[in-house]
Amino acid sequence: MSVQVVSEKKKKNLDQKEILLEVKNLKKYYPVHAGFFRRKVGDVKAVDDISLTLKKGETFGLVGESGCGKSTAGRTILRLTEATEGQIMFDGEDITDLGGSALRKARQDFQMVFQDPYASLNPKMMVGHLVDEPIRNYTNKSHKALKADVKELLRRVGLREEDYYKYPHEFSGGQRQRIGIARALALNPKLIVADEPVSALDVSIQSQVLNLLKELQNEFDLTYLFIAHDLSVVKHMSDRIGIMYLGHLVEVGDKDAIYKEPLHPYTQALTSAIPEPDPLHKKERIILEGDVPSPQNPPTGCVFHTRCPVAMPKCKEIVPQLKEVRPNQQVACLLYEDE
Amino acid sequence: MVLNQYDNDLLKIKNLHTGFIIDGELHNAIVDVNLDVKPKEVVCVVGESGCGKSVMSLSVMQLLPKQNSKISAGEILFNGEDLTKKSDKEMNKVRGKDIAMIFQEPMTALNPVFTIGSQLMEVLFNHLEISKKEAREKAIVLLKQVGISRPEKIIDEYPHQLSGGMRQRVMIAMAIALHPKLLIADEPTTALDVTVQAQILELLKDIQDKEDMAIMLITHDLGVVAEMADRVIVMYAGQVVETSNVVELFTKPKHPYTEALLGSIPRMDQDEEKLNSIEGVVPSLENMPQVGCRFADRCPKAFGDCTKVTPQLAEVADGQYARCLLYDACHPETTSGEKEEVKL
Repeated sequence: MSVQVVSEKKKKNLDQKEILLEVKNLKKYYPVHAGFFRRKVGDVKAVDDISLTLKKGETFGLVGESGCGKSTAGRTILRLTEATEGQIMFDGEDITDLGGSALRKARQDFQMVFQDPYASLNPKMMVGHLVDEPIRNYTNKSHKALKADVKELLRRVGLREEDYYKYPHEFSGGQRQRIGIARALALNPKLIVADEPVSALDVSIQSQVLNLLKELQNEFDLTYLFIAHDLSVVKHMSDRIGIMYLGHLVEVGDKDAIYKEPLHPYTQALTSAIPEPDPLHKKERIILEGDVPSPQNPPTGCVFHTRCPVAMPKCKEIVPQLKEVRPNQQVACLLYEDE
Repeated sequence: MVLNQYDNDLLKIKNLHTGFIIDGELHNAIVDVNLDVKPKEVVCVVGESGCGKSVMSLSVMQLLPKQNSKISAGEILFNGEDLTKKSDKEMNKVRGKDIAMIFQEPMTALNPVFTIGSQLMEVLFNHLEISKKEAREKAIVLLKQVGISRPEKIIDEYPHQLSGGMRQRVMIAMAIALHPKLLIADEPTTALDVTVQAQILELLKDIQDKEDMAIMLITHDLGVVAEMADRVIVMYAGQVVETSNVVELFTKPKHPYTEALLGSIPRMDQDEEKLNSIEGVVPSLENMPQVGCRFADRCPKAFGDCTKVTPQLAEVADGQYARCLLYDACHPETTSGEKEEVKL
């Protein structure tokens, strides 16, 4: 009961909160070169015209299958790769073209938690130094103050103070992910982009890390952009969810709407494809034919029409735009065009 | 779903211990594993990484490297014959023909320098006396059977030209080529996207139905278990901790580990603010407790004797077995079943 009250309250608060991140028409194309002169022959449209807004304190989940551009979107928003087109507004400031020291300064406020805790930590660095590196980068704190800060952070993410002196190989996957989270928290950021933070972990460990992320959000009033392929994990974490397919955002909405009444045929197929851990409840399943087409040569019109069970002839020609069909639920599909 | 109708076990593993030799010492990765698979049954083996589910399946196939691993005790009876006593040559006749296996990574399980057709035909040549032409025809039929469109073209292509889902279909075609009685599928959909996973699970069910074979499906995904299984075997730290019919496992889990595992997955159909997580991590092979329950240090219901008395797998309800002292009737602290009220 109390849990429900809390989430109700949170929802109400979110409606009034101000916007932290606004992404407008973001595009990221990777050029493809071929032939003897390495001439440009085309683009891989990893992210093709997505727009989204994140309010302070909310979690926005970005879901999609491999190769749909969700990670590229996250990295482009953090300016880890350059956007081809579009605008990224963070806390009222346009960070799309920031460079040099201005970008460095802005970066304090947006951090990232990476997927693979085995690859994202330098094996030759002591945990203490891994975590205090971001603080050292931005402040002139004394060695003693740094150490106190780091120990506090380690304790906060569920590690022990003695772990300061250990090296990454001494930890299990879940503990390493905690180190990664401590690192991201070190500068008290406003936004954390978590790119598949639990997909490399076992279920029992996964739930520990998810719980930790939620606790930290409440404590530090963090905003998350949570990227994952597992829809049930995303649903558990997020307030709002965006579904991506081949570089396009096909549906955006509140998590309950997305789960209970998905509008886009792809979202419907995706939610129905997830095996539910309940043997008594067999659901009607929409099974899609074939695989995701190559983003280098995406289908014309609606990118999903090649696999869509309800495709119409016009889907081949017209690119559908994201449009509000119900309150707080936008969908890019021609089925809802005339309403 | 009525399982008692099959009296004879197709596969019966008795007290299996398989270990690896680390620094000259044998460490058992799986200890005292007992399980049986009946004809036409789908048995799912669930557990987290390192629980020994793959070692168990590789032991059945005798595919573990001989130089650093050893089946130290127990027997694996397939149709009444002990596989552990068979020579390599005899095993070659069993593998592929009677028991087939598909692996997690369709990327690495296929040889990149041979065409799909030649790899598929190799299986047929090894076990049957047929001409090249017949084999090719048979291969095309098989590819069609696993839902590959344009099999005449795909047969001459190389693995890198296919997507992950298609490769897994080819693996399945190879596995069912000789109509095996048992198919061991080791995490067959873990590397695939959800929509493709749904296709492959559907295909496996369909084939199981048509071919009348039994499937031993190894997975860590409880959603897949609920979808596929008739019976479930839960493993933890190299031991079977619970076996049960699929419905009872999800509705009335007996072992605290199963219960905690079920509580720790986020559900699509429910809203919860906090997940039940299991504290701590699985002990490593070298640090495995020698006496007592292996789950004791992470168990929310553990009591004093859990670290002292080693529990045995025992029947705790009709057809449901658990390895837990809570259900040990001789134990003063427990009365079987009644203790379920204990709050987590």
